[in-house]
Amino acid sequence: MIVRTSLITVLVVLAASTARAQTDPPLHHLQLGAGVGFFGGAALGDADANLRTSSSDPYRLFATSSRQAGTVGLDLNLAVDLTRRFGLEAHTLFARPDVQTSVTGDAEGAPPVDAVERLDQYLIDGGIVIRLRELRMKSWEPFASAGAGYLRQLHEGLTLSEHGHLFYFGGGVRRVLLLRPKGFLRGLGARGDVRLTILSGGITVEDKRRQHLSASASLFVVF
Amino acid sequence: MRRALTLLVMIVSLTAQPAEAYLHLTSSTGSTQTPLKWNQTRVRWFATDRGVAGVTAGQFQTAVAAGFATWEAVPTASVAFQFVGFTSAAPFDDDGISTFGFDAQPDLDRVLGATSFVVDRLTGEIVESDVFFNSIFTWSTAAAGDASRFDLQSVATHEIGHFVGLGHSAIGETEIRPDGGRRVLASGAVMFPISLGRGVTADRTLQPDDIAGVSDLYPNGDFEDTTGAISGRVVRNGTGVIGAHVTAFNPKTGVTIGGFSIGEGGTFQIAGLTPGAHVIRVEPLDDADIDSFFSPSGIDLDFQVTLFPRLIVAPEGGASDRFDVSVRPK
Repeated sequence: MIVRTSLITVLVVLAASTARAQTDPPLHHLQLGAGVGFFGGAALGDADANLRTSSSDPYRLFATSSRQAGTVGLDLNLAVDLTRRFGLEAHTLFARPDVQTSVTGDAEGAPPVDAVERLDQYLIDGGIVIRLRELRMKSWEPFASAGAGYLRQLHEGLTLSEHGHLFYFGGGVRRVLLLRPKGFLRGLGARGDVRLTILSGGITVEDKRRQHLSASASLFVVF
Repeated sequence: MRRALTLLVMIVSLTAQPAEAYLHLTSSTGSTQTPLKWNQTRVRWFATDRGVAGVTAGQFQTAVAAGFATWEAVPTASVAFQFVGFTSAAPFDDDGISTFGFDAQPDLDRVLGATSFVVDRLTGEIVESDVFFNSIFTWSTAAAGDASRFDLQSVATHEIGHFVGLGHSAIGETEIRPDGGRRVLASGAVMFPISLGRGVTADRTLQPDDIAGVSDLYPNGDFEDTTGAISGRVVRNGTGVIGAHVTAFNPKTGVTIGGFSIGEGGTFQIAGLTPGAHVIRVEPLDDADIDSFFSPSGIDLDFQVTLFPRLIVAPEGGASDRFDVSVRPK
């Protein structure tokens, strides 16, 4: 709600000004955006509850397979164009995905269940943006991006946190909707991102890197 | 106020009796349950000076000492032992010394070994504890085991678990044999009450459930700060279920640690868990005789094995919020 209110305020301010159509935000000006992101799910790994036997073969009490579900979250981003080709960006996504552990094959016939907990997840990253101006379609300007960042996940109840890091690469499109030649607020735009994010650490089972697809859409203002 | 608690815990051979996983032995005074434990910084023990066929007194002492060393090596527990010497005394003599030795007990034809205690019932302090190994069975101290004999070090490691105050663990699976006894299919703890069988040396090595149990009883260093606990209640139709076996499995570590709903109203707590999310499983105590776990009656077996549909998080240095696991009658 706070985000929505802020954006409406920005729109009103910009609408009250004389705007002219341009395709590029001014260089070295901050672009602060907010929107909605979808962070895709990924398998976290399998693990069996094994007991010892008189031989070297373990006895499986039950089997588990864990997965982080996809979820929608709040996307915030900050960007700056250093040149017409290159820029920098920082990005954060807050989401509350479920971790679901499917428990099957109980040795004593217990019905299978999906044991679930809900996480609080924060992704904070930064990277480089390459503007693909030659591929511009009408007013939409494509870009490619790549970077690295930090992962923080809190277990349900917020009593335990786990950390990791991430790498991402992807791309998207950006469009400037309004620009003003001067003033504190210099413009308004929209952007869409698609990413492949590779997470290491955090809440997982097999300690392997896992790949998440994500997408986001946001509005940004130019200061 | 000292009183001998005789033959409190025993490990059995291929058939017969059960035990539990990560249970602390207690002394009861009125409604108060006090865990049994040694207060000495270094517990002194003796070995009898008599061997049996295939095992000399010296080999016996070496095997038992190796069992003690296994428990002493647990980095998260603070318990130490000292071999004093050989003695002509027999196990279970109320003589003020803790004695390990062979003894022939033909009546206990399914019992490999047992541990007795003399305790201060008010404080729970163990004053004396003796362990006997039943010489009606054949024993081995061979490094790789002997397929026709029981491994002395494995059974000694189990009995020393009792010696320090642990009860039986229920992490294991058994099946009924045609003769009415039980055959062990699998075991997840040295403190499981039934032996894995002749020639098997697996119980020379402690399992996570054993380590959690001894560390909870004799915590060392930052054990309590670096591990977590979960607590809850087992209920059926809103009423607490007493004596259910509850296990917590951490998919990330692959470790299973168990406990029992023996608190008021069917409550339980399992400590010594690696911080993180756990799968909770509840089962009736049907893999061993109830009295190998608990002396009181009233243990409830009439419910189905249940997997809890939530992951429960053991926080580092703390305990989870209490949760209820609802089970259905069989």
